[in-house]
Amino acid sequence: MKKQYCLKAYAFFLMACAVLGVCITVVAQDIPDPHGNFDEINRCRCKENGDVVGCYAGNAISLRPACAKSKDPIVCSNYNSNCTNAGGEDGTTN
Amino acid sequence: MRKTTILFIILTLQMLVVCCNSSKDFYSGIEHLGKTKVEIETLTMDSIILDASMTSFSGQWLMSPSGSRIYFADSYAVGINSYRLNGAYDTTYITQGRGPNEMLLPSWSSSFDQNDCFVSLDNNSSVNIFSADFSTKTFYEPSSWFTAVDTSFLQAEWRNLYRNPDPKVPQMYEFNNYVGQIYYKYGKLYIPILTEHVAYNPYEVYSKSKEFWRDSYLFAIYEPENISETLKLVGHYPSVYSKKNIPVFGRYSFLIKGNEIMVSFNADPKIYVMNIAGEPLYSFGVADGLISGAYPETVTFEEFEEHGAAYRNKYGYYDKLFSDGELVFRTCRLDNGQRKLQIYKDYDLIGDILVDSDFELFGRGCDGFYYAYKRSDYINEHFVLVKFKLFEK
Repeated sequence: MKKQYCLKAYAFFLMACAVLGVCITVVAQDIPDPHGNFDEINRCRCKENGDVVGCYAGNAISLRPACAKSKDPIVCSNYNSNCTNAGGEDGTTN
Repeated sequence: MRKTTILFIILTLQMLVVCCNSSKDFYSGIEHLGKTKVEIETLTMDSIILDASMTSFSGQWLMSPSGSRIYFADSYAVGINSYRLNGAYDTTYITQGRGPNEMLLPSWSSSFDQNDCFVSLDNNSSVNIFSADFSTKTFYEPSSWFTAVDTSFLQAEWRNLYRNPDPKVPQMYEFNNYVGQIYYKYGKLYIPILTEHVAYNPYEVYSKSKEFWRDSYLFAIYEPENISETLKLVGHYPSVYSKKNIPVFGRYSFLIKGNEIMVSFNADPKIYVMNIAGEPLYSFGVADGLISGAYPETVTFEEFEEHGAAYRNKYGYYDKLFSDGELVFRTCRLDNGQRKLQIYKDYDLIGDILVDSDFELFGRGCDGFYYAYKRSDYINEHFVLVKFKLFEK
């Protein structure tokens, strides 16, 4: 009887862990939208190339500061100067 | 009683499966080849001086496919400067423009294919493939998945990917500029990739960095004429990165050798070999006693950016790969700041040589000498290269 109780308690503990894990995952995935929107799908990001930070092609979901973004194709290197100041083109990271 | 026991067994097994999955090693079970048989400990090097007055000091060194010219692909100005093996300036290929023998932007990374065609990824991630004489080129706009210029990937899909990162989705990735290599072999491009997704990246432990090191891919392989149908993401990081979060030492170097991809990671002495489909085959490579691997962990992107350069100056790591026939070369930075060249033959370590601090081997000339970059002389506007022969008494 005691053994059965222990097994049930253990099963309950494991299930609780699983539920808690799912909840944490859901909470962790609830990320707010980036500044602007995903219409401006062409993004350039400040990245290192050797010892120098420049403006290079990137995507819309990167954590690096954006140096340029547009609905039209962009030549990122034209915006190298946007990478000399921290925070990127519009002061955001997206 | 019986039901409870079954439930207990199922749940325990489930937990075990979860635990096993979280610690799986992509390279486990493969054979480690080679032994230490060092026979080369010193090399006699001759210096060569090249005029750098018409270039920047930043770029990539290459040996021409014929072995008769040394090329410098400038990363700040468009053009490939060609020098004779004695260091004399020869000519410059590729000028700025949109024409057949031109490039709009400087080369970021380049190499030669099996037909001696020059392939270059420019600073805007466009791929330029030139004929062997540089007279004509095929130009590919920035790959759609690569720079996000993809009209089929709609705003809603970007938003979904932003909220639900998935390492299997190609749009997650960008060119890995820490690796900075590109190969084009038999119609396929091999590009090193990296995801820096805001919630799935190697830098931040609360942004799934463990999952990143375990599940994210190393390479994109595709035919540039038909990306959507040919694109494959292959390769993973070894388990050393899952034990401690060390993105500062997350760089790797790779080679395409026949039907195999060889990859060496900063923090792992092993050189891993996989087939083109990305299945691990075997490993080789010997650890250097002066690379402790005692890398400090970083847990945020800010920490990575703040300490990255200092840590790379303080700790040793395994660096660039180069191959020539049956030989594989690897440079290493030691904990004491010195640089070494390891030489492998048939997976055995046969050479272990101290070299100059910026030494980078880039080719073997038709004269039988190996050529390497040594340093830049900024005052006199010169590049200093060295050449040496192996197995020479």
